[in-house]
Amino acid sequence: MEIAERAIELAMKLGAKYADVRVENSRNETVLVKDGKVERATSELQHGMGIRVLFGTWGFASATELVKPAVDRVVKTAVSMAKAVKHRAEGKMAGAKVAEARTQAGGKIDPFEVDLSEKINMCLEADRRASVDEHVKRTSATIAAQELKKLFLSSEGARIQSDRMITYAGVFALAKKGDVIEYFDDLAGGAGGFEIVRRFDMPARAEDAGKRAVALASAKAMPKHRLPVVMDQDFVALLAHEIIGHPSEADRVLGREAAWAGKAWWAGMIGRKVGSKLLNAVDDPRVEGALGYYEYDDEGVPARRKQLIREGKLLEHMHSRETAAEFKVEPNGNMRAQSFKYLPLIRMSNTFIEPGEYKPDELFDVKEGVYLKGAKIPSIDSRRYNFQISAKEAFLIRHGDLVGPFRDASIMGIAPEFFSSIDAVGDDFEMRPIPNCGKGDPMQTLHVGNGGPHLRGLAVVAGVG
Amino acid sequence: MLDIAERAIGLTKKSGADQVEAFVGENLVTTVRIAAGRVVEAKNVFDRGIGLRAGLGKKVGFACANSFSQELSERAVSIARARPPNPDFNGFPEPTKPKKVRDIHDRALANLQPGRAAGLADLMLQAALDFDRRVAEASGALNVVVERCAIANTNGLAVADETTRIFGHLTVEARGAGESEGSAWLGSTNLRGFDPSEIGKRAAELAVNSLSPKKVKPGKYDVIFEPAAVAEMFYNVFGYAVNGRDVYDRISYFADKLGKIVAVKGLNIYDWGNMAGGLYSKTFDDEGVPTQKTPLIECGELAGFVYDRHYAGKADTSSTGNGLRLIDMPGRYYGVEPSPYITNLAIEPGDFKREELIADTKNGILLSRIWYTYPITPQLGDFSTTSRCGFLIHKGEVVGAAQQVRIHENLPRLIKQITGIAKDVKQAMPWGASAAICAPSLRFSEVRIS
Repeated sequence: MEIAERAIELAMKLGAKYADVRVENSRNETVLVKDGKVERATSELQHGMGIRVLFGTWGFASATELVKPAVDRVVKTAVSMAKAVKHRAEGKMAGAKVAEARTQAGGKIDPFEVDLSEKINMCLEADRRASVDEHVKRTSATIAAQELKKLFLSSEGARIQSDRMITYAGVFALAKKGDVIEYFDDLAGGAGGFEIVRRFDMPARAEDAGKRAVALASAKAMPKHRLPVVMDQDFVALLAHEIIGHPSEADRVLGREAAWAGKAWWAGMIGRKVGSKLLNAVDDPRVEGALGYYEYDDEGVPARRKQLIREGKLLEHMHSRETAAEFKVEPNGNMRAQSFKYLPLIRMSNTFIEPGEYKPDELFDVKEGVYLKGAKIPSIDSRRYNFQISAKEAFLIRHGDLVGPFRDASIMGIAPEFFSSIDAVGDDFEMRPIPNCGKGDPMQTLHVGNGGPHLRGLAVVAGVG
Repeated sequence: MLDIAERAIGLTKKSGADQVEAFVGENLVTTVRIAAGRVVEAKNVFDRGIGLRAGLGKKVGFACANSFSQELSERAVSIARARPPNPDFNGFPEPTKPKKVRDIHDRALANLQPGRAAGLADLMLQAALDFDRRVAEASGALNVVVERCAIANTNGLAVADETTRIFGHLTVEARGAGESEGSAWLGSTNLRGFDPSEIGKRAAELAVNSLSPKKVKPGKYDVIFEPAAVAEMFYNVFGYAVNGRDVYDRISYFADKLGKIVAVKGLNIYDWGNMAGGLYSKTFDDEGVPTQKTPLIECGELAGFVYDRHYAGKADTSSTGNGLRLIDMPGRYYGVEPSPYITNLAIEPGDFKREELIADTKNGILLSRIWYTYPITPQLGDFSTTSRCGFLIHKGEVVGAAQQVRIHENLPRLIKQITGIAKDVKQAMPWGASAAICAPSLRFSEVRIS
């Protein structure tokens, strides 16, 4: 605390309009078993501090040494960099409540209290169970946990201590039949403790992954169609991430991420229709247990639920204090950094499509269609307008019955056309973890939650390229 | 730094380990970000730490921290004790004397004051804004990376390395009849070889030339990918296919194809970890194995893969000096164990001038930049991408800008359909890349455009 206060005091003395500091302590533990052998058993401890100073342009510096001379050096570096800029930005910040708080998102079972050998044995058992027959050629199982203790201080007087735990478990199987290679993976993760791993039931999930990989390796490739598509919650989670979450980040909307991450096709369309009346989408950092859970963002702004889209109408974006000032709205708590080594950026937290009123069975009530289960890999254009996302598994729907599975399917669509085509939204909502959302320069990889229910719309289903 | 590594080895042995490796890393990353025609962020990240691998026979534990302490040694050893042996662990490298790699460190860059970096970014931006009155906005970044590391192990290996690089990127928007975008990227291992104004000018020129784009009818086209577009495609869709880990995991579409013809005869691709002036060149990798030039494709034949020691052992071959410790932040990161990664992926130039490739194309597309190029079915090499800057070619001439297109293609098929390799090799790094791609323009036939 004393070091952080000293840093803020020095930054303000050197002329900053505003300054904030994040001091972090974190520990990570990872076990990875691959093909019956322990490939990784690792432990990582990190500590350090990042300071942000405003001179119109933001200056930022970080260091892992938390002693007075090093901290003074870091502050002076941040200040000197911002001051050296000729084409300075305006850097106006919207006002925010100055918070003093202590938050904790721990979970029921501390994953660091669970013996390492127990985690290794769980991974070995899951890995073994994934080998369901001779067609399974590769298997793996992993358990990982992270504990983060973060202190945020600002020159406005904010003091927030946020402690949180994240735990993951994952399984993987790859099968080969003839020349066809297919794989299936499954992942659980969220804000919480080792109960996440226990709930996941790794051996059963691993066995299921093995069976599904073998079934896919025996399946035919999906032919090309333009048909109604029904997507499961996992597929909808990635869809919500890519074509709702990302374009809702106000820095993209303002064109500030144009160089790399890109822009947003719906810039300037707040209040206008972007999709069917059945489309409702939210970003909410306070979904308990979800991977993107937090109570205060990295500007000290209280986290809150945002109704991004209601009944097909675009209502709100995700903001920093700076973009909130430009849009003349209240900041809504979406600034986050990967760690103290990075300057915060506007990031989604838990972005999801809200459940509708349809029973899942009702969505399959079509003459002909395609059912996409599980999301694999996306390719989205720089405005989040034109998208292609591959699925883990696909089935043809014929008069309500499923035929398949088919392998190597993906959908191609144009965001507003697809949103407008949504004609049924299920009531079976689920959140999924996405542990590797990338943005920024240098790249920052963040944990986010995404989700939704089963959903039906119209898109081109593509097969192998 | 070597003294810290050697001290760590001594204390970890005392904690009970019979084999130890210590990696001490120190990275300084300076980034100046530009958005909407202004410098919005000026950042300086200093990160230092140590990663220890402690072995008890075939049982290896890894632990890291920001500084060395007895606790770190004990943690690494306790992990090793808690786990079963890994029969694939093949020990740490023996000492070697790596050859000096030319032009990978520049004192001027290593000592560059953060304020000077901000000044270079200003120059890059100013050059774009001054280029043409239709230039509306510019976004991008300038990065300076200084990475230092020392590695020691109980076999007597003790080496230290330092490298520098500077690179800048700018995406410029122009407004005239509609809006357009152009971008440019430039990198160097030394300050004297880096001209920030060149980036601004090139990006602005492309943006202005891209105004008034025409729609492209879906179909099959001859497509020339310029170096930045080749870099994006090969980093994301080729890099993993030659990675020894992905080959072992069978995610690589090249897994069973070593020694077979996989591309046109004229295609030669290397991973060149000790290339003079290479942005990702190093004297040795993050296990202490000397870097080298590894043939990947020679005369169209699949010639090899890149390996660290672990996956080389599994494949019954030797490390190619590609065992790296990488995360998102640039630099050699002490906090993870080594894995195989590409370094400088070098595609050999051909005989064509870029202009000759265009003149020789009847009805095609020239792509300067593609975006979000990912292998949507990685084991097949199927990928999907969209263009961010492209032009139409008609009867051997560039006749105007092309509207955005989507390409859903298959790289193993495309590299058999290369009909021209240009001489215009440039280094480029796609967004978030942990390797450099040195590529010429390549022309492919029958590329499916939608």
